[in-house]
Amino acid sequence: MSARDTVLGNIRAALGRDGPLADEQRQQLRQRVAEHRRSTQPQVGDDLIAALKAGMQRVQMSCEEIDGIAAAPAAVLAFVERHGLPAVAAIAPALAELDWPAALAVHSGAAGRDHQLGVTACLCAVAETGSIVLPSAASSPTTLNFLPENHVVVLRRSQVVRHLEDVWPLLRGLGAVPRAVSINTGPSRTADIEQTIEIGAHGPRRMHVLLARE
Amino acid sequence: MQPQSHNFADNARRALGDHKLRQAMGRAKDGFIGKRAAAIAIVPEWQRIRAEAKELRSHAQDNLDYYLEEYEAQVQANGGQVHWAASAGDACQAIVDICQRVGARTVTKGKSMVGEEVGLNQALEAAGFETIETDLGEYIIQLAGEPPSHIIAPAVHKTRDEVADLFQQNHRQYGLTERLNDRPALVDEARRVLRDKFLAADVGITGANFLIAESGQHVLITNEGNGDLTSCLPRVHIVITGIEKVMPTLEDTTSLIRLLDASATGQQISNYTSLYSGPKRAGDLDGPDEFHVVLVDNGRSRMLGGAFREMLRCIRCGACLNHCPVYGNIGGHAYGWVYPGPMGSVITPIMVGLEEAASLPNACTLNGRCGEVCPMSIPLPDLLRKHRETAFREGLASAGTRWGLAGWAFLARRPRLYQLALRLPMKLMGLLGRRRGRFRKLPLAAAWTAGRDMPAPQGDTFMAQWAKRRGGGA
Repeated sequence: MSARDTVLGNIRAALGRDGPLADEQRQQLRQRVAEHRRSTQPQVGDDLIAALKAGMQRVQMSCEEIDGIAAAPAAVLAFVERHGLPAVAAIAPALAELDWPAALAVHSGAAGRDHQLGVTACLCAVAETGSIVLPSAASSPTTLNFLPENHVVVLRRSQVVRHLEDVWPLLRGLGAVPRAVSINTGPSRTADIEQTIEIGAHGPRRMHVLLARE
Repeated sequence: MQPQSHNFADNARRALGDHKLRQAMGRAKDGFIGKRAAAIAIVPEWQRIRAEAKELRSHAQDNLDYYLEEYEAQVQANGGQVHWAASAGDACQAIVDICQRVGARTVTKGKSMVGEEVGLNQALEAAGFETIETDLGEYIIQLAGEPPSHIIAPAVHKTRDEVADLFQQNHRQYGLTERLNDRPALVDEARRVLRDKFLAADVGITGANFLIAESGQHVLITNEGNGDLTSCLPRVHIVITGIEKVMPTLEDTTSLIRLLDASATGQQISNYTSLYSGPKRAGDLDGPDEFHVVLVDNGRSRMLGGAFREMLRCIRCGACLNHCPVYGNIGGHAYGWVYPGPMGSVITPIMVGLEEAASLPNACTLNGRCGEVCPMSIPLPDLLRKHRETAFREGLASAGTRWGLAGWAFLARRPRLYQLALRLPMKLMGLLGRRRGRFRKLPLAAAWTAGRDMPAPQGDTFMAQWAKRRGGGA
């Protein structure tokens, strides 16, 4: 008997059955899954942008408003200068079409060990928690979200959703399940030494959002 | 690890005398309790969300085989492989086999309590793989050669000085020349050394907080980002997890994520809540070539069928540890295995045997706080009492306990004798203690009087006084 048969057999015995569920019950469970029923959700204020900003502030994420996506490259360059970073950015291929300034060496693709800045787009942001949702794809490699010390995210106002539950239909809308979906909320942190929070454990030390009007 | 739960009484006594441990535990306890309370205070819907989450988890477990098979089918559809492990040994073997087949040398790990439970590090090291824990707390205790002492804060028992010592002793090989004293410097040092390990690793192993049957994804919740680097950089990603973690949909799981994050660290959401399934897709520029999930039973199906089924709802938040006065004083190591505190005192006897761990369910004052704070409404005090009853029935209680209880039961069934047995020693004590009004020492009560004096009884027993009062027409 395979380990699979042993474990499933033990589970069924514990549930008082000697085989899989009957077809009718399986059909009911399939239906239940398809309904995507939500539980009680915490209240979130009517102004989603205000809620998002408050959420991001709670977790030491910085946010800057820009006129449109086209203004992102200049804002990234300003970020680099402000923090004294090398003028090199690893960017998501999704953003490669933007007009990047010559002063910034741009690498479109996955992040490498020497990159200090990753720049990405995102699927959406969650007002409830201040989170940024980043599914992996050829145009948005996941290492950009974790390897560089600085992560700049380009977000449109229209991409802000209310609750975490509002993310799930958007993910299903992508079609195939992506390998990774990062729901990132602020710079990396640890409290493993004396239960005191330190920023910059293994992931980015800074997370900065460029909030574009459109 | 080899369970040391039979030594609980000695372990606890030693822990109580350990000044550094008491210092570290005192600092941690207040932080955990305060952060959780603040996080819950801003969610007026908390109790409703909690009640619904209990039902959701119970529904998943009532149909556990169905949802596990769905999850498996979806992982396969996403290009991953699922391995089933009936025992701890099977789980380790499955993982060692994968590492050998792909010719791995270095293995990085994200924190996994199931990994601790099955002794994965020992198995990997015995098979010759360089195995590195990458969660800072886990890394610290790996350097110290110790098991975790808390399920979400494994190095909670270590002071900053002790961490500084460990880094000084172990990081010379990585170029550390001076002793680092402050926290940011220590965190940076771990970041610097572990970064090379992340990038050099052939295999990355993480746990999972939840499995999603509908999509084949698992949810991985962390704050440091080490779990994500472990999931993305090596060419092989292995997930080790318990069979009880499967949930039907992301919608069904969202409340549990909220409850877990608030109960564990007082966060509204942890820094990194990540969903993973399968290897890198066609066109992806990063991610592993292989993706494996090892589903571990190791006693869980037995819990499903027995008196401890409710324990399977546990989402490993650690709130019961943080609110337990016994855990707060002795720390996690005294419990002698990988799961400490109230949840550990329920699980350990099931997984390693009641004979080994019969003392753990007794390390409880029945104050009930663990059950009150449990986000999954697990009746922990009731489950602990069940273990105590079984231990007594099976003759695992100490001779002193058994004789003491037998003697008390004999008297309790004979009220007149009971009154006499109380009244005579009381009168005697009242007489002997009349001058000083208290006793420094008493026979058979040395433990009680070790820390305080016993006041000398005044007057008569309550029953005698009551009889007198009624007789007097009051």
